[in-house]
This record gives sequence, C-alpha cells and structure tokens, in this order.
Amino acid sequence: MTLGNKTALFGRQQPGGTVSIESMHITTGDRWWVSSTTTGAVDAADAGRSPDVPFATLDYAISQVTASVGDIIYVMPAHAEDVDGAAALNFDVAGIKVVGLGRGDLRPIFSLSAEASTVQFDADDLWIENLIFEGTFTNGTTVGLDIKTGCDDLMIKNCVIRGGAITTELLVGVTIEATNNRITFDGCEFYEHAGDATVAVISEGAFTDLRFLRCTWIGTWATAILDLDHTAVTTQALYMEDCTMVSHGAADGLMITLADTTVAQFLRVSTFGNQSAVIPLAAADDGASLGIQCFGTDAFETSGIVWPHDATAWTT
Amino acid sequence: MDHATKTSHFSRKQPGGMFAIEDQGTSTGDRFFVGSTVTAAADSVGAGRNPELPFATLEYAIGQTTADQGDIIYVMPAHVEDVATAGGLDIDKAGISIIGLGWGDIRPKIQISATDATVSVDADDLWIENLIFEGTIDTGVVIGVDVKTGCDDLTFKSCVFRGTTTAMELLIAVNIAATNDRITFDGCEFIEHVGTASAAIVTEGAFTNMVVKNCYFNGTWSAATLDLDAAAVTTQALYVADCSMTSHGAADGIVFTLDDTTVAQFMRVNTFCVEDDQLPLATADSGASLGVECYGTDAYGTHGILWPTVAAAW
Repeated sequence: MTLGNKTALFGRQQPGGTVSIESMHITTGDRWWVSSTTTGAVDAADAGRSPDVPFATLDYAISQVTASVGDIIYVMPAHAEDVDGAAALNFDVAGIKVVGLGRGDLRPIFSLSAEASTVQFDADDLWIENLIFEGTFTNGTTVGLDIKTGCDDLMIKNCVIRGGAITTELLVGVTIEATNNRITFDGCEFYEHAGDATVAVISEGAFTDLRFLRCTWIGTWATAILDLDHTAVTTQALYMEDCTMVSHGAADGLMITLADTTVAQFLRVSTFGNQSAVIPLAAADDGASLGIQCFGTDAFETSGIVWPHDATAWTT
Repeated sequence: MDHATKTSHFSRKQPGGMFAIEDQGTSTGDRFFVGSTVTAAADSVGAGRNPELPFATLEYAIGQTTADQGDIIYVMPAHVEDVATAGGLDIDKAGISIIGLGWGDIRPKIQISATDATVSVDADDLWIENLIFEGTIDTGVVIGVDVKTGCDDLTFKSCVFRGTTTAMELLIAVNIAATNDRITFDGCEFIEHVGTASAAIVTEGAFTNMVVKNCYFNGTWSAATLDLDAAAVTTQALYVADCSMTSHGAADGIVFTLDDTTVAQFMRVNTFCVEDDQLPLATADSGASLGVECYGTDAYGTHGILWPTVAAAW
C-alpha cells in the first residue's frame, strides 16, 4: 500500500512571486486568466497566470494553452473583445475549456463588428461556457459562430447568442459544417429582433448526436429557428429536451426543418409561434421523429396543443 | 467551550518537496493521481501522489489505496487504459472513489479490447465518476462492466458506456450478479449502434433498491434496454426517474423486462421506440409497477402517450 497525500489542492509559485492553490479535483490542467478591463492585462508570454496580470484577449490565451490536457481559461467579468474579421476569435486548440465569469451583462461579451466577422470553432473536445456572442454591425453579421468540420464533442453551455439591435443581428446565429458528432447546446439563449435574421442554427451537412438541452430561442428567423434539413441522417441525429422556442415576427419561418428520414427525438419542447396552423415540425419532415410532451401554439390567445399531432395507442 | 478549527484545509509536504493544501472537507482519505499521457507516469511506489508524477494505470492505483477510509483516485484528462482480459481492470477495493477529469473525448477512457475482456467491479461502497467505458474489438465485447455479488452501495455517476462502432459494441454494457443492494446509475449515458448489442443493463438474479436516474439511453438492444427479469423481487427493487430511453433499430427489443411481481416505480421515464404498439414495460411484467408522468411513443411522426396504460380514480 502506498501512502497517498490528503489533497487535491496543490500550491504553485507563479511568475512575480504569487502562489496559487490549485484544485486538482476540477482538472489537472493549467489555468489561465483573460480580462480586457484589468490594468496590467497584456498579451505576453508571462501573463495570464493570475487574475492580477491576465491576458488581454481570449484569442491570444487560446494560443498559449496545451491541447487535450484539461487546461481551463477563465474569462473575467466585464471582459469585452472585438471580433472584427472572419475567425478573428478562433477556438482551435483541442480539449480546452473556456469559462466566462460573471452574470448579466457582466458576462464576457464578444462583439462581432463586421459583416464577415465570425467566431470560429475548429478543434475537438471544446467546452465553452457563460459567454455572450453579440452582433454589433449595422446591416447584420452574416454568420456569428462558425463550427468547422472536426469539432466532435463540442459543448456550448449557458452562452447567449444575440443581435445587439434590430439592425445589428446575427443573420445566421450558428453554422455547423458537415460530419460533426456530439455537439451539445445546454442552457443557451438565442435572441434576435424582428429584423432580417434567417436562422438561429443551421447545419450544412450530416451530423450525429446533436443535442439541444434547456435552450431558449426568442426572436424572428425568416427561414427556421433550427434549419437542419440539408442532409438526411438515418442514424441518431437530433435530441431536444426542455426547450422553449418563440418566433413572433410577421416574417417568422418554421421552428424546425429536418429531412424526413432524419432520426430525432423531442422531449418537452414548447413552441410559441403566430403562423396560422403551421406545425412546428412539418409532417413532411417528421418521418423519423418522435415527440413526447411537446406543445405548440400558433395564434395569439390560444393554448398549446400536442405535436406531432398523431399518437397511436398501445395494444400489446 | 473548545474552539474548533475554521478550516477544512490542512497542509502536507509531498515527496520531492511539493507543498500541498489538503481539503479535508471533501474527504479525509488519501488522494492519488493516474495519467497515462504524462511523461513521468509510473506504476511504482512513490508515484501517484501528484499530477506531475502520476501512476500509469488505474489498475495499479487501485492496489495502492486503503479500503474504507475515503481514498480518491483522480484519473487525469486524456488517460487511456486498455482492458484486454476478464477482470483486466478490477475495481476491488471497498470504499474508494474514482473520479475522471476532463470533458468530451478527453474524459478518461477505459477501452475493452477483447471479446471476453471485462471491467470487474468487486467491492462494496464504490463511487465511479466521469469515465468512458468503450468497446474496441470488432467482434463485440460480451460483457463490458461485470458487477459481482458483493457490490452493495455502488454508484456510477456521469459515466458513458458505449461501443465505438456498429461492430465494436458492448453486447451487454453492464452485467449485475445477484443479491446486490443499492446500486445507482446517475447521469450516465448508454450509447450503442444498430448492431448486435443485446442489453444495456442485465441482472442475473435478485436485487434491491436499484436506482437509475437522469440517464440517457440511445441505441438498439435486441433483448431489452434494461433486462431485469431474472428473478422476482417482491420488496423494493427498482426506481427509475428522469430518464430518456431511445431504441430505434429494426431489431430493437423491449425497453424494460421485469418479473411481474417485482416492485418498481417509474417517474418521468420517457421512451422513444419504433416497435409498433409495444408498451415499454409489457403488461405481463408490470404487476407490481407504478408509473408517474411516463410517456412513450412507438411510431415515427407521433407523440407520446402515458404508460402504464391504466389509471385509477381516487
């Protein structure tokens, strides 16, 4: 028998003489700090190891971490970062976690400030938590979050994806390229205005095990909130649970599009629309879909009814 | 009046001079570290005490712990361990916790690489958290995790049990020998393909107070997702809550089997299947079962209806 130690907490001296106590119970990877509002913040090799001398940008911090050892980047309250070009913020190191600190609008905000600006995801095993991605470009940003092929096991948790105003929308909130597996949106909020946005999330090809859990959509998207019908996926494709979807503009589109043979399950997905008599998932799209306790309403002053609209009784 | 300490943190100097702060509020047991990808990792006495010199294998680490004093083994991100024989990983030290670190596919992986290979679980009071158990042999693994008799108070928390491809399935993901009490699966995922897997969980005999909660099952199991009818348990046997269970292959079986007299409760258990008109728990098996807010659907393009089918007025 080996005598172990009694702790998951380890002390480490940092550059500048500070000592940090690190809980290995959370991860054995390194921790890094980012803040644009801290005096002394700098994108330099020796920075980023404590909240007193953080990195100035998340994009630089990502370049300093080690892939797939469990590194965590903490983005401090009130951090603001301008994303002014395509992939100007690029999550391209595998196996890292990025955690925003703060609540309300103190959460770190990433402003997409050009028509072609994107936040790019380009690595496996990413965990992104508690960040706000916001359009700030007049006439709208074409794509907000651009998830490239090769982003298996991506978790986007408790993030907000929104337009800053009716004229500064994310026209497409999230684009997902083909053949990504196990992408999860958990606790995310998607907000748009009654402007020109077309979809909240769109897939460009096949996907498997895409999950939306506890998410909220409120806005107007002209094509669909979830536009997932590019390709049929006849193995497990989509699972949605405890989601609320509101589309309330005059030009709102469908809630969900799917290929008719795409395998999907919906559990407690509630939809609030005002397109007269348009079912949240069209009958032509639900050939491999199953729903439980999903209610939708399509006209003001009405209560929701169950969708899909058919049910079969048990006989055995 | 004596004054107690205001902290649960205590300090200890480690081999090599590393200074550690000890959180006794989490456990007063020892902590060990395992990481196959760390350059200095070694299965030797003197290693395993910190993340920079961890043990190389979980199997060795288990042998270094002390039973029943609250020891915790942390398995580091991206750790991979091959299990090539029956009991090739044997979790046989009572009262320890094994906690995987990481997320996505950098969670520690226990890869079961031979048809007869198993992860053996063989002690009371075990806590196993955030590990991925996956089959990697193209003929399929007969049993992935083999829970022996004498595993009372076992908890699997936030673990994944899966085959890596249609060919490389865990034919039975978890097999539970008879007379175990208080086994809990909490927040676990069972994922299989449209292959030849037969069951996610099988019991070989009687059990009491098994709890399956917050779990997600998605795959095709030809016998049943939970195949629990080997013995009748007329005292409290099974509680299933807040689970989502999908079985969508052409050869999918029933969701649950139970002996008709086994006492069970189901709460918010939602089943998504494509077997025409087949109840998740057959009427012939539900004689001592109670359900609350359980819905199931058995055909594409339909919404779920309640099961069991009969309700009684107050």
